[in-house]
Amino acid sequence: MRRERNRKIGKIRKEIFLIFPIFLSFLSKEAKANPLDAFGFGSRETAMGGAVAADVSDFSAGYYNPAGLAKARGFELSIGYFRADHFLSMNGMNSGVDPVKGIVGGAVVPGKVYGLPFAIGVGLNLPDDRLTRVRALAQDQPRWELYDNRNQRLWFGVNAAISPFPWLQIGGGVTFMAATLATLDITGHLDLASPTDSSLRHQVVADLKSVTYPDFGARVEVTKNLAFALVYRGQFGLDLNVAANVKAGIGAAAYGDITTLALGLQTDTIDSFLPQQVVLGGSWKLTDDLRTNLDVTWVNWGAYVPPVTRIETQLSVPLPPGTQLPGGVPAPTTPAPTVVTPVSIHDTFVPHLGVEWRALARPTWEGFVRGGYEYDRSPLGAQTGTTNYVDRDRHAVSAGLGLRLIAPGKILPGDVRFDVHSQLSVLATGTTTKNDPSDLVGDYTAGGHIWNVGLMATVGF
Amino acid sequence: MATQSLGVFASWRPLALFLCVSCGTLGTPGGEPAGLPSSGVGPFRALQLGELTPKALVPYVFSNQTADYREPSVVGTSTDPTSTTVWMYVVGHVGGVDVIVRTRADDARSFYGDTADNATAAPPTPPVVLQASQSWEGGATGNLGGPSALMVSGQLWLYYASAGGIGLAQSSDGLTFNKLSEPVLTPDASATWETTTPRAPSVAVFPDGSWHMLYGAGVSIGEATSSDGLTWTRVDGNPILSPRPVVDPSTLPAGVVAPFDEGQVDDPVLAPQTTVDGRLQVRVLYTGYGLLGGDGGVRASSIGFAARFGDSGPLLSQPDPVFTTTLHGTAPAFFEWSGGSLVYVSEDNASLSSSMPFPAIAAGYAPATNTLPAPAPFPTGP
Repeated sequence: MRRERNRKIGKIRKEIFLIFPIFLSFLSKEAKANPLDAFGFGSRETAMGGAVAADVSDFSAGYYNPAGLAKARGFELSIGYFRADHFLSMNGMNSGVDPVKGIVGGAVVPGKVYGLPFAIGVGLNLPDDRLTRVRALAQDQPRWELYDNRNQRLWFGVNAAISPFPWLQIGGGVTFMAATLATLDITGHLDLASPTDSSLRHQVVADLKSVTYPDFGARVEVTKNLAFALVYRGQFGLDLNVAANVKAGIGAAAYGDITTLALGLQTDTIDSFLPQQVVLGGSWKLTDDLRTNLDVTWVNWGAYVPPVTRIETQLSVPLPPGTQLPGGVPAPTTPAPTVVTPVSIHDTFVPHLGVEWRALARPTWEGFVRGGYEYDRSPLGAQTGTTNYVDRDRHAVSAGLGLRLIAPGKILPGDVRFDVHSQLSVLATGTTTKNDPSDLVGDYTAGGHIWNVGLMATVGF
Repeated sequence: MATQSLGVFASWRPLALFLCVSCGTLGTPGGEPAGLPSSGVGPFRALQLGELTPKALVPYVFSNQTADYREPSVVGTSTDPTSTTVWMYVVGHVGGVDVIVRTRADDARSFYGDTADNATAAPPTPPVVLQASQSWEGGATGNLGGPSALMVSGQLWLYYASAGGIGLAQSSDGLTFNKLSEPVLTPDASATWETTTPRAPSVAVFPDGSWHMLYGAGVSIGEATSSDGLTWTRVDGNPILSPRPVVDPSTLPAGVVAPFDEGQVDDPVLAPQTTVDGRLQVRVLYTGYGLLGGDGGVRASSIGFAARFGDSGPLLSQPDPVFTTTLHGTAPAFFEWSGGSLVYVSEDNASLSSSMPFPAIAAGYAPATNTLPAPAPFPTGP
């Protein structure tokens, strides 16, 4: 019997070694950004401060630890909604950071392969405002670097996990995002004396290309009540390339065209950079009703690529000899290419702490109370120079409730769960002072808080 | 057993329903960053259509083909930070000499007597409030220039430049002035960098009560201090802002232009403020000139920004101008309120004509990404 089992395990291991290179083939040189880092994924997990790497088995395992999928007990379908509202300000003025909100959900499909527990999970964070947004700002424009724009995007992950031994689960998968290539062509006539009489035709060609990044995880059950986890999440950057070509006659209706403007513009932006991460987690079941979790995440912010648009321009406006533009307007010259100012940013360690208490246990239902805490030390250095990537240390306190209905009926032979969460993130107000008195932005204070609420429903079959 | 468990892979209906529900949601457009911090001194953009009366030629806020208005100075009439009612003192060419004229706008843009202020008849004529009369000013045929208006305890103090230096006139209503008989700042032979008579004064009172005057002389900007605004002492023997070193264009990379202020700095506008961190930031807008001979024989000019922390010392300047017009903007004026800030400059040709050019006052606004509300009606008086 044992020999047969070892043979099966050996075969599975071979297949795993075949599968993982396929996962690796999805590896792009950079990985992406998503709202899950900031606001969690799933109500139970968010309520527990995201400290679930060693204690997750539902759809959210695709983000927290794919290995947890192998602990799923049956087919589950989850759906929910969350909304995070920013109350962030600079100099006492609301910064107008858009809320992050949308549908959260996924499915876990467990089974067995060669007698070993195996599962596939899909997870989805679908914003209800937009699938993705890329916004490249000037380097000196103040912005909440980690909250404005970069969380406005879809996240979709597909993962698989297997449990080769009862005490070990391993899993991995890929997450999908889209990169953008686009061209903008403008042709026609530009009337300097009467701009409204200009006739310019434009054509936009855009192409969205799928990009992916990998994640892997392992979970080890040391005892029935103690488990550890190790998770790796890949690096990602959303690459936006836009080319613009303008060819237009320039002049005034009264004079006719004086010259032809030819402008070539090539922009390249790495947006929504998500650094690679390694999570070390532990889960300790103190009693049958009380569990505590602790995760520590290393975030490789040091590799951060700021979302600054690099612009290369080619401009040609030849004037006939002895002529000039109307009104003495000087002919434009080709601007210099963008020079990107290095950003001061460093790696961080993010602790997550979570507690779950089964407050009520009845034969047909159970009630849970959850709490969590997360501390994100800002990875950004003091913005004393020309850049203004604004951020502050974040303390996130969360709480939640859960209701589990145990096998409520024949149609739903599995569990039905309802979870809600609320999370308050406080970004302590601090002052940024500039070294250069002629800095056009100057000194400023920044701080605020973020409210994140949501609910989930999970149906087990 | 394995087959039975894997059978659920075929059950995609719930997942399909989930995705359909998800894709059916609709969103709203995202907002742009708002309420961003700024030193308040640009970069400015020229006023646009819709921000001036439809009859006006943007971005000109005050023009007259015969009066040749230039060298503005703008002062708010109220301490209310939301108020946009301003007085503008501007040099005009009237009766063959350069005088100082006053006008008013209730929105800081629609000035009494502008060319566009002609709803019923020809535009009204703003009053002349100051003209040369004293010997040090060149007598009745002398010219005045470079006004700098300042509210002092309910009085309007108007510093100005003339042939013999910088003078001061005081008024209780901003229209009728009493001149001091002697200039408050005259040429000083010991200040060797001052190769011309001091001109283009700008005066402000700092939070500690000290008076500071910046002025142009030669190709640089100097500073003088006072305890009462009447008796002035030069800070030291050196200018506080000089032209940037001249750069050989052939040594510059493609697309990089020579410094905009390598020829001369002039026309300072002093605007001190206390930062959120409690530091005194001395902000100065100024005219930066290129070298002679550039731009078709006319010196290119733009508006630059320089500053320092503290009440003394040289200024550090931004390498790029904060406001550039195609028609040689010079002599900035500055007005700041809770809705943003406006810069006013002299331009050398508001007609867009090379045969009949005349100067006028153009304006720019910051934050450049914001839009000003619709203009107010022209005032009925100056």
